Amino acid sequence: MAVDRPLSLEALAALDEAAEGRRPSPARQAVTRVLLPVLTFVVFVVGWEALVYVARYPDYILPRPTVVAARLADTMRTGLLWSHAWATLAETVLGFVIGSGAGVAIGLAISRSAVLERMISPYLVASQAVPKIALAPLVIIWFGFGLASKVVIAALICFFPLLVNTVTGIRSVPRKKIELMRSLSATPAQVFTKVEWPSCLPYVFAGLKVSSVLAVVGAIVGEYIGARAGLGYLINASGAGLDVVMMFVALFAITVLGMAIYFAIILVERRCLRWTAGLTQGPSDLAG
Amino acid sequence: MGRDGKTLVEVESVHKVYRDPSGRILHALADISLSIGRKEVVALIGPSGCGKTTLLRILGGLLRPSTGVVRLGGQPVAGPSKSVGFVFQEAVLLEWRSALRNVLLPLEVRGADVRAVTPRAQALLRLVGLEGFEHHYPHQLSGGMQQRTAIARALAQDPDVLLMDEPFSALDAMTREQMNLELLRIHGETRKTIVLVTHSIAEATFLADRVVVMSPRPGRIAAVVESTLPRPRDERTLVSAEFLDLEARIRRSLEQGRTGGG
Repeated sequence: MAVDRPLSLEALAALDEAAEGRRPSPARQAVTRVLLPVLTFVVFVVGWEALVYVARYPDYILPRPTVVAARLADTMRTGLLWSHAWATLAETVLGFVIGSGAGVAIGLAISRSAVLERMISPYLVASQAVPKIALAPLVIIWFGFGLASKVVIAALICFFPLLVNTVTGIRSVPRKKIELMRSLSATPAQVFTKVEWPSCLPYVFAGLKVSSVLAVVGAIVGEYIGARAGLGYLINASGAGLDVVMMFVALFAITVLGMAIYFAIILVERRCLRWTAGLTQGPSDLAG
Repeated sequence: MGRDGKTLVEVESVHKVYRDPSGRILHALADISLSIGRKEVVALIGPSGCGKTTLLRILGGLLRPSTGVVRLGGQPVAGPSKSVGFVFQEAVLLEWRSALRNVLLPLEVRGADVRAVTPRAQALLRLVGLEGFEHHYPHQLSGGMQQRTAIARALAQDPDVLLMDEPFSALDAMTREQMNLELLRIHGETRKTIVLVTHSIAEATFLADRVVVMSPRPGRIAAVVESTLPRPRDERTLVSAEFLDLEARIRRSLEQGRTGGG
């Protein structure tokens, strides 16, 4: 390092940051980003295993993670897990799409028409006060033990977050932008497609993220109450037989399923809202 | 005179009365008559609430006068038209569109073939000094650059007149001065008629061929000061004796207008 060469600005900045300890090296960044969460997981699983080993809990109270993992592999091989996971996935996705779609559509209609808003918004608020879960037994009676009832429950739960966020999104469009469009002689349809809908989209995605999680809850609860298949049904049926290992397998599958749907939405959001990259603050999840 | 004598905008005894949200009746503009020639730069100046922004919005067809007429190129103004380009106090860019697509917006709204008009939008961005920033999003641009984009957008549909409502008031003093120079340059290249509302006496003095001084509510024209400054103007103009003299005259007119001299 004896060569006395002028440093590039890049190198100077790196030196400076290193001296002040501001930016860790790329290697250390990778460690903190990937290894630390993995470490948490390992500690948790080992702790769990050790606890069961020491306290000698029977499998029908708290099975060891290794036992759960073995059963998980087993159910995956036999296809048992897939058939139940598939049922829950279908219910969740259908309910999510139908409920969210209806929420956005009615939200847009309400924000277009003051008359419509006066007519139906009090009832929408009132209907929101009814816990959708409490309706589940009724929905099972009306729509049966199959797919339809679970789709309806999931859709009911997804509806409101999207409705609220869509209305909020459309209302939060700055007047200045509407005035700009007016100065350009834009038609109402152009104002909608070029200004209102794009401004509303971050709110819609915030709602979708909330309702995607709720859709899983809706499907599972529906399955608890009356179903012939699905991960919720699997938990319920296994619980009745004190097969706690299988309950853990199903729980694990539900978690993976929920996360997969959630991250799928985040992926779509990133594609649609590329312009928000670098903006610090998007609209928060308004309906929680 | 910077005018060539041909009148572009004619304002004939315009009054504007409206009700504020609490129900009080406001007399915003009283008996405004004014004609503006082609290629002229006119500054509207006056204390807050003198109705200068209202007048600008009436000129652009965003508001209707209560009585009186505004004609643009001989035709009565009935609403927004493509002969008018607006630049607002804030840039009002669409955050999800790149600078280029923001400039394309007025053309898209008019149903133009985007691909065919893109070169034109690029040329406008070059005109306002934003070459190389076509694909930047608004949040990646500084305040001055955002306002430049807004000016390019206002020029996109090739309007006859540019209406600017305190376009640089949100910028810091140095950027503002730079934008004033830029606006003079853009005016020199496009020869557009410009009507500019401003709070800044220096800005009005520096930019305008004529400064219309308005009195407080109800807004009326207290004085019209013809500029004696030669064009082209540059930084040196700002420190010339003529500039300071003209600025002082405009200041006096403003004061007279405020104390109800009219």
